[in-house]
Amino acid sequence: MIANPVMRHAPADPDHDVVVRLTRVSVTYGSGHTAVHALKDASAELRRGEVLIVNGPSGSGKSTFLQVMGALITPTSGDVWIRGRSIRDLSAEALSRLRLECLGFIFQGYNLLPTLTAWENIAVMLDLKGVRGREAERRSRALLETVGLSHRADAFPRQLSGGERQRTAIARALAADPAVILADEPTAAIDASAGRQIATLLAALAHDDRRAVLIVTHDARLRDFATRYLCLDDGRLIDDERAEDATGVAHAPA
Amino acid sequence: MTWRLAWRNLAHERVRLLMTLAGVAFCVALMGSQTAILIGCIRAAAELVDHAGADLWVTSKNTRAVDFPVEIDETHRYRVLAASGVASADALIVRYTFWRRPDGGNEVVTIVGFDVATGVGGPWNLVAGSVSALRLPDTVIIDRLYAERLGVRALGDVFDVGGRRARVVGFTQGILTFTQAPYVFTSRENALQYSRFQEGLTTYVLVRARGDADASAVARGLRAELSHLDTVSTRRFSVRTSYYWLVETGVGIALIVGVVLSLIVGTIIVSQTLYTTTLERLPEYATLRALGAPTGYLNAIVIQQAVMGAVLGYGAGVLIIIGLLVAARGTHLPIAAPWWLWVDLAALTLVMCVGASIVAVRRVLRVDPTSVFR
Repeated sequence: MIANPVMRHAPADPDHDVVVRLTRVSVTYGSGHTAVHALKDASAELRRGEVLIVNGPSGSGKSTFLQVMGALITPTSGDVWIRGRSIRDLSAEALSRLRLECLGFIFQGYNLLPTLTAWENIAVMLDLKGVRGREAERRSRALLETVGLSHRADAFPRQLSGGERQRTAIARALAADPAVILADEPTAAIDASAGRQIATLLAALAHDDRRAVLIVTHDARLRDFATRYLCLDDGRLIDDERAEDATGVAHAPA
Repeated sequence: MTWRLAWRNLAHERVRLLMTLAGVAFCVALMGSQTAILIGCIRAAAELVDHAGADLWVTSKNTRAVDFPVEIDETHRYRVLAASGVASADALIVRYTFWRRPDGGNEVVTIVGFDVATGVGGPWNLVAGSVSALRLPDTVIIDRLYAERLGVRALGDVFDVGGRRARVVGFTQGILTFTQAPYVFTSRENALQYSRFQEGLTTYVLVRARGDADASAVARGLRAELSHLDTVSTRRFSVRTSYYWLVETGVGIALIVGVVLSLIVGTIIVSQTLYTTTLERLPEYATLRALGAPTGYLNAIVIQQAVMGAVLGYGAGVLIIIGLLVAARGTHLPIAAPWWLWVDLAALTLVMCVGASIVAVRRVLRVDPTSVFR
């Protein structure tokens, strides 16, 4: 696990490393004069090895941005490409398959299954990937060890602290070995110290494992961990800046 | 993992689980006991026909059940014997009469007078005494189940039957009657006396076809020969008798309605519980869907909960039925639980519970994965 969360070197071949691309995506809920334009003409890319943080006030379209990046909804116009595949015409089942293959989710409320222990929560993801029985348990416990929770493997979510739950959720997201991790307010429900641990962990996933990490958050402290930073306001992306690396030199916009 | 998740979901709310299992068990017990009584009634209604040992029954025209005999001329027996393919023809007298108990009370009994020499139409499941003892005058064989009711304490006890002396020379075990008028087996000669039946009459002629003859062809020949009488196969007469008691009298319909109502009640109970459980767990289903679970995976969890409810509820229901069967042993309640009843009941319970899960499954199919972000 890396202690320094900030990536020091930009990818050698940026296009090759793009795992999710939004091209002029708009999302509108409802129609007529009651229509809500949650996302307007947004274009963005998410690359391997980067931590993209998306910020913005409530109602700015952050959740919609996350959902469209996560193939949970299809755009009203524009297109989303995940690992080179357009999601526009995919059925609900195909979208679900795509999420299982490529994407890992971390939720603000952890969303662990309360009737299963920590390792069993992870084993569910492995089960979905066809890994079952003792092998699933072995891998689940190993993943918990990766996030420093091997001693809590048999605890139920209600017996875990907020930070432990979120680390379990991260282990669950990793179980399917996704190229992309999408995190919705991952530090909102936990204390500052636990929040820093979670952010460090997520950054390490990008920098050590070369996964793409998207974090939607209000937490300004997480900006320190960003490779890139986006801001949403009233459904529009208004900013896209690279985080400064340790040398203090800003990267060019994507 | 889906089985584990299904079980944890079920077991998480213990009170609800117990209520579900109680509902399924009650439903299984009700369906099982009603059906066992129905089977018992069917068997009891036609038991005399089924155990008579005949291939064909010659009866008066339109006899609706073995318990409603109409006399026919016994000379028909000779015409039957002369028919092609007939190996034997035995007269059987079935009549109602009164049995006077030692305390002076009367019981209606069904006299069954058969030819002791051939044994056709005679008793079965004999547990004491012998059929050959019926060759003696004024002798009868009754079933132990009715011994107390008839005031019989031991072999050799003597009673007044139809105004004549009757000595008990044998006991059968487990021969119930649907009419609740106990069978009193006796020789044809004694039966004529007990039932004050006119000499030269009988109620049935029981026919056995020769080994090389086709029973249905023999029946066709007899129908042509005795067109004013009915000639029916044992199977058909058995079904006709059961049909009369169970359908025409409405007894069976009532039992079947009970089974159907149990099924409906059970389905509603399981359906309601599963739906409530599913609604409570919708955020979890939405999470699984967001994580990439196909709908089949989510449905499997719901259906597996239903299957578990079915298995556990069935087990509890079977225990209740077994208790009922044990309690009914030695009583006059016609109840029978053949192996296929348990299998059919298990299948029906499974279908009921899985069918009840459809409402919950439909709800899970509509689960919105984006709801995890609200």
